[in-house]
Amino acid sequence: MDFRLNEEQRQVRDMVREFAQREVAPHIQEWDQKNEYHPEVLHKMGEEGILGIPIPERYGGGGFDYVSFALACEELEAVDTFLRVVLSVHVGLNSLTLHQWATEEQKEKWLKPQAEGTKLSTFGLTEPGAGSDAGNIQTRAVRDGDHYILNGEKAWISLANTADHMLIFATLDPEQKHRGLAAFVVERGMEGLTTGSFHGKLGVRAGDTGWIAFNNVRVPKENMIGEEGEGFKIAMSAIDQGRFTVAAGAVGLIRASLDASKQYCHEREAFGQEIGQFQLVKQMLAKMVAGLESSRLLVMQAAELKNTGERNTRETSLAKWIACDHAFNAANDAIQIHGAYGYSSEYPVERYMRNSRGAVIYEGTREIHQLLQGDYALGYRADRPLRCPQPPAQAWEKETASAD
Amino acid sequence: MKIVVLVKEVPDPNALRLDPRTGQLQPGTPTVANEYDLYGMEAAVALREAGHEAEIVVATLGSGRDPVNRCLAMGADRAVAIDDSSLTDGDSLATSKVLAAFLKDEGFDLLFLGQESSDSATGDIGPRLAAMLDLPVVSNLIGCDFDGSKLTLKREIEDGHQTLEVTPPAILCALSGLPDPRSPSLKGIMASRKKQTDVKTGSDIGVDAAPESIVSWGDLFIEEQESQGTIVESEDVDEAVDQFVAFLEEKRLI
Ligand SMILES: Cc1cc2nc3c(=O)[nH]c(=O)nc-3n(C[C@H](O)[C@H](O)[C@H](O)COP(=O)(O)OP(=O)(O)OC[C@H]3O[C@@H](n4cnc5c(N)ncnc54)[C@H](O)[C@@H]3O)c2cc1C
Ligand SMILES: Cc1cc2nc3c(=O)[nH]c(=O)nc-3n(C[C@H](O)[C@H](O)[C@H](O)COP(=O)(O)OP(=O)(O)OC[C@H]3O[C@@H](n4cnc5c(N)ncnc54)[C@H](O)[C@@H]3O)c2cc1C
Repeated sequence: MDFRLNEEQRQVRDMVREFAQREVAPHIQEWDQKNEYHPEVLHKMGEEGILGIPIPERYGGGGFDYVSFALACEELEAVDTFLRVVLSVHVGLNSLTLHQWATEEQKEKWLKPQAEGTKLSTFGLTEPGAGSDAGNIQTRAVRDGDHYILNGEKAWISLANTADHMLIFATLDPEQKHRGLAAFVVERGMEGLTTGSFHGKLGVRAGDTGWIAFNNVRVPKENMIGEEGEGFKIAMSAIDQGRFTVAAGAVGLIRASLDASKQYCHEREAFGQEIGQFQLVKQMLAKMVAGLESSRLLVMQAAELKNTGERNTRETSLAKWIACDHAFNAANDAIQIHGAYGYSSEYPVERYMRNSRGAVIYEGTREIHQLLQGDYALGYRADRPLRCPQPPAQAWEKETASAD
Repeated sequence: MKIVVLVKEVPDPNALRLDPRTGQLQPGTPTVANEYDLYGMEAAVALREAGHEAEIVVATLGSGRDPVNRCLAMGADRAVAIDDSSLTDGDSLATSKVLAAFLKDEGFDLLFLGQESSDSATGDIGPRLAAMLDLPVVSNLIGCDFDGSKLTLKREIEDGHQTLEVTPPAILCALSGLPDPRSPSLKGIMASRKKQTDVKTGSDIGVDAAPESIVSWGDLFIEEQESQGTIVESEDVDEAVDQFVAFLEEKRLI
């Protein structure tokens, strides 16, 4: 087991770190306070290749491994969560899912421009009436000749108002619950498709979160990913990738909370000494360090499994649950360490806390992950092989029989 | 034009861990490319980007590949690693002889190297190579322009700067006053995967026996710093001030 990064991984980390520091860090306090969304940053990410990091080169991506991908998420969220969210939906939930389930023609059409960063994409599963209970979604798809006709509404969708391509889940038969779902690529511009943004969010205020509505949207049958009834499996394997990015990003948020806290501990004095000298303050720092390193190790464990193409649903869920809990606690304690200043937007830590809160809800709530872990431990749950297993990272493709 | 850039793998100066018992660096100390060398690499890429056609070859003597890989991702066209355990433990004279043999074999119009390494820091590889190859050397380089036939070089000297004009071939020792080295772009990193690294041994470059070293190395140690205060003792204020001023003058502080 080698815990050191290789040169390529370090290079990716440094490149993404510098990008986020240069393009976003100087402005983020202001953007966040004013709820300002800057889509030009996403286009720059595309130009720099950040939107295709783990996608193989033959599909327009960078062909980097999952460790590099995790480091990119960490660096982005160390600056702001909205940046990492872009990798979560565009790369994790959408592009990597197409890489796993789509046909070659579909990959050529949608995956390639996404990996090249010329098209942006998102993932629409959640609805106003169904989140955790995803088998219960109500958006309907009805077959009509060479098309499916979609009706319904998606809510809480990141990049809803920005994405060109949307991976949308709909039910062919609500009676069949999760066995009745199918996945479709819906393109902006299709007739009957409307989108909008939500306002009044607690966090991720520099990001685009919104809704997508379908009013008799005619989707060609070639836009269905996988087969009829396979939608739920596709959604769950998408989430295996999305959760990974959320976990890796949470590591960055813990790091940012720790760094801000360390600095403040040395600067601020009370009762004649640096506040870092107080044992109760030290304890908060110690917990952040423990959270940072244990979360990062869990993320890297999942990354190694993903690199070789091994099933990692359990490990990814564990990383997501633990890292997001630690991130919220770290940001919350960072506010405590900053005292009243931490409660103001003069310092970044209140933004970290607001941003970290959402991740305890999306990509599987804290409760859902605990249920999963309990079920795995008790043997109530086991992963069955998929028709299209998760492909390994590019460098491992030749070694793995499942690669196409 | 052919530009060769030398890079040395050194222990990461930000992560040095010395084992006090052995007097050696602890095993597992991370390594990086010597910082000044990357400034040389950046200068080489910048020359090419300024429109001068150039092949950039990066070379190292040693077993580590990370420094050359970083330079390939920054834009070098190919790499040479002289990886021969019999040649890597020499002093700066022996190291220069190996590098000179390689450079004669490789040939170049411009050679960039660091002003000094951050580990052994003798700073004499550049001048030694210049003597061995009978070429001009410009040290302490902080600026570099090329008009297609001659270089206009800026160097740092004790009390200011000096500008020189040099016609290639020449040897240039880079300082951090040059423009900062870029981080490789993702496209650069991807391109570097396909670039070639030739691994050479001594016999490949005509060095059959390790050149003899004339300097030997003792242990590494961390110097203990003692701070001593000086107390001006006089109770008379004017006298104390005079004593204090005299002290400052003696120490050349005023
Ligand atoms: C900022 C943000 C961005 C998002 N982006 C996207 C996106 O891009 N695409 C997308 O599809 N969705 C997105 N979501 C939606 C997100 O995935 C859902 O909010 C999440 O799945 C939870 O669903 P819900 O909000 O309907 O909560 P519910 O499922 O209604 O849960 C409510 C509460 O009940 C608990 N609960 C539910 N079921 C159980 C159970 N079986 N056992 C114990 N407790 C249970 C939950 O843990 C929670 O505490 C986003 C959400 C946010 C906040
Ligand atoms: C295991 C070990 C044992 C050693 N034992 C001795 C010893 O007994 N006696 C002794 O005097 N020194 C010893 N050294 C130091 C070593 O000899 C010097 O590092 C080497 O001679 C280069 O000198 P420098 O780094 O001081 O060069 P400098 O002149 O400070 O370096 C200037 C530039 O030369 C280039 N350069 C230097 N070395 C290389 C390289 N290997 N590959 C590519 N470019 C390079 C770089 O661009 C560098 O910036 C030892 C080093 C090691 C690792």
